[in-house]
Amino acid sequence: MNGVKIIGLNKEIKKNKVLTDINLEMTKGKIYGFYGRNGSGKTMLFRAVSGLIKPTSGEIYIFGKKIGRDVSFPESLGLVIETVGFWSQYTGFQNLKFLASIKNVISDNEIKNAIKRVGLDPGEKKTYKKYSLGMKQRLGIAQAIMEKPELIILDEPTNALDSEGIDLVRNILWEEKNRGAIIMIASHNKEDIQLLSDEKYMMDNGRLYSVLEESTK
Amino acid sequence: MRSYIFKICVGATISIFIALYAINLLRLENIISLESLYIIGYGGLFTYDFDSNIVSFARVLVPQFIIIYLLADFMYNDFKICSVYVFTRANKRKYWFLKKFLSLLFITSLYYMAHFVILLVMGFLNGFRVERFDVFIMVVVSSFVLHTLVGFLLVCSVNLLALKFGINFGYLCVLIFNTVFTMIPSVTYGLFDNVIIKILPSSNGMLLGHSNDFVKDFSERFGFDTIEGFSIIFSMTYFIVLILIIFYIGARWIETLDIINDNKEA
Repeated sequence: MNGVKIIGLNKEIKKNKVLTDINLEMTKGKIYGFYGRNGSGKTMLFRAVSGLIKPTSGEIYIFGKKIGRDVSFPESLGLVIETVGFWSQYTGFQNLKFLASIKNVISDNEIKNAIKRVGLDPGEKKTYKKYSLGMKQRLGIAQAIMEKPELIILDEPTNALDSEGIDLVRNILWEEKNRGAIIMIASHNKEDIQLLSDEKYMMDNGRLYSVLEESTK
Repeated sequence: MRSYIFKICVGATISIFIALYAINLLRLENIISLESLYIIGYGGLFTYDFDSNIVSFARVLVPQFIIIYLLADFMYNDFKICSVYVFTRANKRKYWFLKKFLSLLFITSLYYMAHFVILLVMGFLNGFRVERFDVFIMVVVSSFVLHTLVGFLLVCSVNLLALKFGINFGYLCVLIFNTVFTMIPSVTYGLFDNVIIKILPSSNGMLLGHSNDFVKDFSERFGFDTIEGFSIIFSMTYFIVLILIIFYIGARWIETLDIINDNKEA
């Protein structure tokens, strides 16, 4: 299968149902937008697709591989979930270089390019702890896209960004979509969802609802 | 990992006190053999008699408490700091666990290696020399392996407990159990053919008490307790089996562990 398929996904945490019977198929080269109030289950869904939490029941296939059986995590994934966190004593480049060393599939130049794409300076000497919130968010997005993943999951990608940053991120998402990536984004910012998404979904109380209105893009 | 190696090297300086204690004790007896120095420093409890054992308990337990404390957050930190970014770049959780497991073994062995090197240097500087090379090698190697295995078992336990219940709980649990296990032989020595002592991790981790000939020679010379039918090979096998069980349980458990407490900064 050439995409993401979620079948009958349920997740309970401490007897609370946080995801209920989620069924969804996503194909390459599209942006899928998810919105809903806090605690509606968007982040849990993203965590489940990323392999970070184990479904209580149901199955998730990413490019034909079942999460939890064939692989623990999607093999080609770029991820930002809520607050971005890095090693505070290292620079942005050092942080990304360490993360890139785990898979070891990209060069230093590619890391630097990813940092440049989000509007940061790869030669910046400031350590991460001195970054502003917006810079932290940009660095998080850079780590998500640097390895050119086939699946990109971004939870509130425009949080803490100024209008220039928001435009930059939107452009990056379109570029990644055109590259053929599947992009899942969650945002409180309805404009982001309206503008970026090819398919929109609303989450409420752990349930997923398709929003059938015409995409504005 | 470098920061942990630095920390455990600093922690290993506690061996200076162990070395001073052993050197002074042997000087009183006019003994200058390095083999004896290792037996006194790192052989474990001299006797299972509780009353005369307070210093021995400290000599055995303090280095263990230090390594448990220094490495308690080794796995936990990957969950706390950037777990989302680290884990999603690993294909299998099991591989992450295996890598961490082997790193812990490496760091633990490094810790005791530092202890043994410090003792060797201090002994040498104080005029201690090898009396019988074959015995020296057997004492050092078997003592080092036993220390590393028991230390590794303890740090694995604390790391898994920390992942499940938090670092403080994990540390406290291992600290209490290890202390109790180390003291139990004082009560059970001589009972039930010493079976209880033979199945305790703490007594398996001490060279003294074993019934191998070269250990017995020292025990007889210094008047230490020996447990018949308690071989070093048995203890090594015992630890390897326990460690494999912990690895199996840990790997199974890591597979199903939800990574939720993430994205904290280091």
